[in-house]
Formats: sequence, C-alpha cells, structure tokens
Amino acid sequence: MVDIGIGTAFLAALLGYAVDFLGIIFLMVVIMIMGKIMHRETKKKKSDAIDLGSINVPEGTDPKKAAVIFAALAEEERWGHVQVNARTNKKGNPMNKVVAAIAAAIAEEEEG
Amino acid sequence: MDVLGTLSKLVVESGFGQLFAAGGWKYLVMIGISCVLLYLGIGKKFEPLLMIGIAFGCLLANLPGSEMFHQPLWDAYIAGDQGITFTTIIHDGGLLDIFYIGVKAGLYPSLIFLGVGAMTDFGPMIANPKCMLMGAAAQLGVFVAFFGAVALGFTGPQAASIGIIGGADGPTAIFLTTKLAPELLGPIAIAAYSYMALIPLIQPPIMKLLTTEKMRQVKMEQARPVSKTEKILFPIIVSAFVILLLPSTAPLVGCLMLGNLFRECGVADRLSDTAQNALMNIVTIFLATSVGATMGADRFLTVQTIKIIILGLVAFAISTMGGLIVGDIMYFVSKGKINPLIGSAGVSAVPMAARVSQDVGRKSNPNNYLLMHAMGPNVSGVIGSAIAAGFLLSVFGG
Repeated sequence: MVDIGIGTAFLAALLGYAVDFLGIIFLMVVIMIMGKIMHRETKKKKSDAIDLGSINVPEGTDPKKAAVIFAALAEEERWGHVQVNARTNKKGNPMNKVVAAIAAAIAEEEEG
Repeated sequence: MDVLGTLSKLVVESGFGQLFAAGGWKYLVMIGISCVLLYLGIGKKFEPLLMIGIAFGCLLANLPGSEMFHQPLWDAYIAGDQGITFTTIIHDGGLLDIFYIGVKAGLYPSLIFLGVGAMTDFGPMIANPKCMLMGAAAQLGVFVAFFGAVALGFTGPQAASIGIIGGADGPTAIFLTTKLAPELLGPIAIAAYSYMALIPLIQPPIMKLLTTEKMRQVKMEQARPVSKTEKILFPIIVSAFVILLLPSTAPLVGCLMLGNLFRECGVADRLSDTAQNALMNIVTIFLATSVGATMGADRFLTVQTIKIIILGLVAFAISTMGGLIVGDIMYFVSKGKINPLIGSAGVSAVPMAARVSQDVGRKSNPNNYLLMHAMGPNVSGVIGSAIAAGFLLSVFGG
C-alpha cells in the first residue's frame, strides 16, 4: 500500500482511530479489573488485621515511640517478615513484648 | 612544483570553494537554518536537549567536504542495493553515518522509551483508568493529518509518518518515519520537536475555545492511592496486552514498560537510574545529531517540507481538540466532576502538556491543582500514540 486513494485513506484513518480507541478501552478495562482485585485484597487484609491501637503497650513505653515501632512493624508485615495479625512475630513472641524490647533498646541507646 | 596550481586546487577542493560553486547556495541556506535551530534551542529553550543536537548535526552534514554523512549510501541501502549493509556503511561512511545506524535499526527510539518508562509514574492513570479515553481521543490529529497528507499527494507510508507528528511523541515519530519514509526524517523530526516545544503557545487558545469558564474551574477529587503491587503488575500487563494486540509496537511498548518496571519494582534502582539519566543522555546525543544529519539541502529545501510543517501543526491542533472534546463529554457524563482541561494533555508530550492543563486551570481557579489528574491522559497518550504507530506500521510497513 504505497500510493493510496482518498477513499482508502479515509477508511484507513477511520479504522486506525477505531483500533486506537478499542486498544485503549480494552487496556482500561484490564486496569480497572486489576484495580478492583487489588482493592478487594487490600480491604480483606485490613479487615483481617488487628487494630494496632488495641495492643496493650507495656507500661512505661513512650506512646510516640510505640507508634513509630508499630508503623515500622506494619511495613515489615507487608513484606511478610513479621505477623502482626497473629499478635506474634515469627519466633512466636507476643508483639507487645517485641515493642517493649525495641523501646527498651532505644531508651538504653539514648541513655548511653 | 606548480605553486599557483596547487593553491588553486586547494581553494577549489576546500569547503569554501564548494560553498561558492554552483548549487553552493543550498549549503549556505541550510547552515542558516541550523543557526536558527540553534538559536531556538539555546536562546528560546525549545526542547534544547534535542534541538541543539539536531541543529548541530544539520550544520555538520551541510558543511561541504566534511564527509560526516553520506545520503547516497543510505539511499542505496534503502533501495536494497546488493552489497550495501551496515558493515559497508561502517567501513565507508562518516561518523554521523555510524550514529545513524542506531536510528535505522530502531535502537535509539526504543532506548529513549526505556528512559521515558523509567521516568514516568503511571500511578495517576492506574488510579483513574477512565481518563485513558482522553489519551485515545487525542490521537485524532494523527489520522486527520494522515488523511490530509494523502490528499496533498503524499504516498501512504509518507502520510502515515507525517500523521504521527500529531501523537506529539518524538521517539515514536522517528521510529515510524525511519521504517516508513526515511527520506522525510529530517523535516518530520524538526516539526515534531518544534511543536512539542510550542505546546504552551498552541494549546491554550484551543482549550479556551472548547471549554467554558465554569468547566475550567472544576476542582477534581483526589485520586485513590495506588498500591506498589498494582504499579509492578501494570507494565507486565500492558506489555503483554498491547504487544499481543499490535506486535509491531513491541520495541517501543516493550522498552517503555521495561523501564517502568525497573522504576517500580524497587529492587533495580541502579538500572532505573541508568535508564533515566546516563543512558538517556547518551542516546539523546546520538539520536539528535544523526537525525539532524539527514537534513541535507536537497531533501530539506523542498515544498514537501513546508507541507509537512503545516500538516504537523494541523495534527497537533486537532489532537488537542480530540482530547478536549472527550474531556467535555466526560464533564457532562460525570455531572461536572471531571475538568475537561485535562483532555488536552492526552497528546503525550510528557509532562509539558499536563503542565499546560495545570496552568490554564489555575488561571480560572487559582486553587486548582490539575497536574496529577492531567498526568493520567498524558501518559495514556504515550500508549495511544504507540498503538497508532503500530497500526500504521502494520498497514504500510509490510
């Protein structure tokens, strides 16, 4: 198709625009489905997860420090390194003990 | 020894001698054009990273006697002359001929796309996939300009290469033109990059024409956050889907998405950094100078060039209109929740077109921040123009 007439050019242009639109629409649908699945997974995870705020932090732990540690643990949980949901880490220690241990270590370092 | 004869021979054979010989005026005009392009790149900052290279490549190729670029060699290669291969060109060609092999092989545009992918955050598009419709609609100029070019007497492959200027995507335009109409590469590259630089001047009047003040004032809701998993899955899904749909887009879409995967996977930061900085800069130098070198006087100083420049402008304007019209439709369908100004960003030209949407939106409502919303149609325009190029390549490339 080197030299083409006006009619053929019009058809090719129309077809090209339609293919472009259809391609993008299909892609849009695929992304929407992916988004829905991911959103459902996130929601499910959220409902399964315990409310971090409900964990009893051992007395004497600075609440701000505990919040930072919980945030870090939540991130670790996202990558599968700890299991906040089960209230224990992979070694089976309760999470509040882990938090207390980290807080104590930080306090010790600060004092030192 | 005939001193006078030797001196006379030296003068005649020198570049100066050739400049003032019959037909030498064309070289002078091209040197003038390269100086204008250098001024636009350096003085006016029109896409300087590319414009300077293109202008200097043009200057080098049009200095008589420099032997940096040999158009007849490439004409023979394109014509399929036996014995003319890349090896012959490396052996017999000049420095810019060697650089140009990367253009001809489709290497540089693909590597540029690798860098573009590594630099692009597709998050806004994943968060609001409906905005992809504007990216598709903004390819209207590609096909209108294609039709116009056929009407003006260009061949099908030439018209397809001219039309893709409307995609506002330099590497895609170069990739397609190299495959379909390499003889037009110089003017098409110049038109594509010049109009991309002129987007802040071309688009605002059209945006104001196709939207009302009330539409421009719409503040859009913040998009949902996009998870890391979605961002990692996105390039894999898009590559598989688009390449299966149009296999000819594989080099462009494959590299674009590989670059994006480097960026999003979180474990290949070094590769992402190299793709978006060092590699991108090196390839830009090679690409720009070799494209500039194709602007030989005989090829560039023709009526065709003027037609291409005009058709390119038409393509840009109509693509902007296409995106805005779908933006208007989405404004009505969403009952005023979508600001139609983000539609104009569907013409690719990342992120310049999105910035223009933001600027025009803020003029109507100083508290409006449309940039992230406009990035959705903007990056979907890149995919849209790659699909358009793939379609044109599959129709005219065979």
